[in-house]
Amino acid sequence: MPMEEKYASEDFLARWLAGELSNEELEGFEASDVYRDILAIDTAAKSLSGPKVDVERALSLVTERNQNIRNTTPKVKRLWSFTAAAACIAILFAGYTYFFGYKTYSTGIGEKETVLLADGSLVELNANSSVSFKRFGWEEDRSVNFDGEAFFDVVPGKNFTVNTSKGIISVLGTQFNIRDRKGFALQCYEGSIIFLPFNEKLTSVEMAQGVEIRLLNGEIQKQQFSQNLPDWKNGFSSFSRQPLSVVLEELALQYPVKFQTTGIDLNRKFTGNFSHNSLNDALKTTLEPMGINYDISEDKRIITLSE
Amino acid sequence: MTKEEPSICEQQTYNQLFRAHYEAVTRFVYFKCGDLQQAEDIVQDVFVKLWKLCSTVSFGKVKAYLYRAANNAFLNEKAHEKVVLKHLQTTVRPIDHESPEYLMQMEEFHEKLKEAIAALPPKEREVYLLSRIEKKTYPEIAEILGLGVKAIERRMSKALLLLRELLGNDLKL
Repeated sequence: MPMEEKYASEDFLARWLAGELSNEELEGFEASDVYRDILAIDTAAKSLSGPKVDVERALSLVTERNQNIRNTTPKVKRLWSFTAAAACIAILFAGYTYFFGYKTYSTGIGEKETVLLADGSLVELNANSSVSFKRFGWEEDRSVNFDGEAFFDVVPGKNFTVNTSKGIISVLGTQFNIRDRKGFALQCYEGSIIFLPFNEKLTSVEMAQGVEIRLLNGEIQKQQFSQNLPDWKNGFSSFSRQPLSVVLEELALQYPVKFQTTGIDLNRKFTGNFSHNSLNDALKTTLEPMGINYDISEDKRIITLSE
Repeated sequence: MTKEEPSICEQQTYNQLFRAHYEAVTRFVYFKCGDLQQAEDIVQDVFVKLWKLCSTVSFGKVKAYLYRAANNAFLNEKAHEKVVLKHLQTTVRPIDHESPEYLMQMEEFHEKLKEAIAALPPKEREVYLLSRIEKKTYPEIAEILGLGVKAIERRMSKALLLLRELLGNDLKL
């Protein structure tokens, strides 16, 4: 049976399945035994069906297993992502503050510190003072924020500005002392500086060597002075017709003490100085000439004044 | 990429997918291993895994994923040499004017047919059952198995020939 052989080949059947037979071939095939057999098998096979599957039961089984997973693993995952996010923010924040942040130097009671700036300028901080400036790119815009008292020795160069609570001091290259505490005082030791007060009623002041200004009751008082260096740099504080309150304030900056001043006239004037080395000497040189008795507490923290 | 695909992580979507594919995939595995319990276990594992990976499987590819994963899981399981398709059922045909003798013969023939199908090589059996029992088209089978349509047609024709050989004597009756 050559025809039977031909029909019973894989290639021929594959072509039949793909619908690629010509009409002639199809006719011949459909008349053959092969076709009849296959049709018979297929008819029988079509009456078979797949196994019965209980989908809903399986779904409830799987859902139960899934709930166990959701209750455990995703929590860990979520924490990870939170940790990652927090770490990223922390790193960004740290990087930002490091690169764009300010570096601050400050001194406590009785401390002095010298700060060397990136351009070689020196800032000598007196007690309880602070200076801060940009960590990077500072040389482009020489600007520092300042509070307290300090002596500035500025290297010549681009404009150098000091921001204080009372105004801006603008210089090119010079030496000057700023005192920005309860009272504000500015002394120019070399070159010239410009003071731009924040108070709108005041005009800017240009100061030459040996000129001192003080802000008193909202006014600028200008006067001459003859020192080469501020006294505090030599280890003492000096006063010329200053009220007692200013003297006590300065004492409390250089020594860790507090004053009990009930019944004392704080407006009486004092001229003189005190040393930063010894509390006893300082109290002797300031209070005794004014006829004030004082009593030091045992821990040397509180000094009670009496007439 | 303009339409938002539903997320498989949504319980509702997941259930919908389960109802749509669970039975077909289970039968698909059953045709391979011949053990309904094993097939159900494999496919349930696949669905549990789908739930774990719900965010990484896209909705459009989930069908292919299910068949592929079930096939891999099946291949990883051992001991499926002896295939007995005892869960294939003879649907009672609503033709009542046939003689009892003929029905007897048909019954017998069905048993022989089941044996013959079970005796087919795995690749051919799979294609034959997907086509004739699951009534899937050749392109559909090709998609499920990740093969070309031509390969499916070839396997199918081989299956037909083998069945004819195996059942040849019974057909003469």
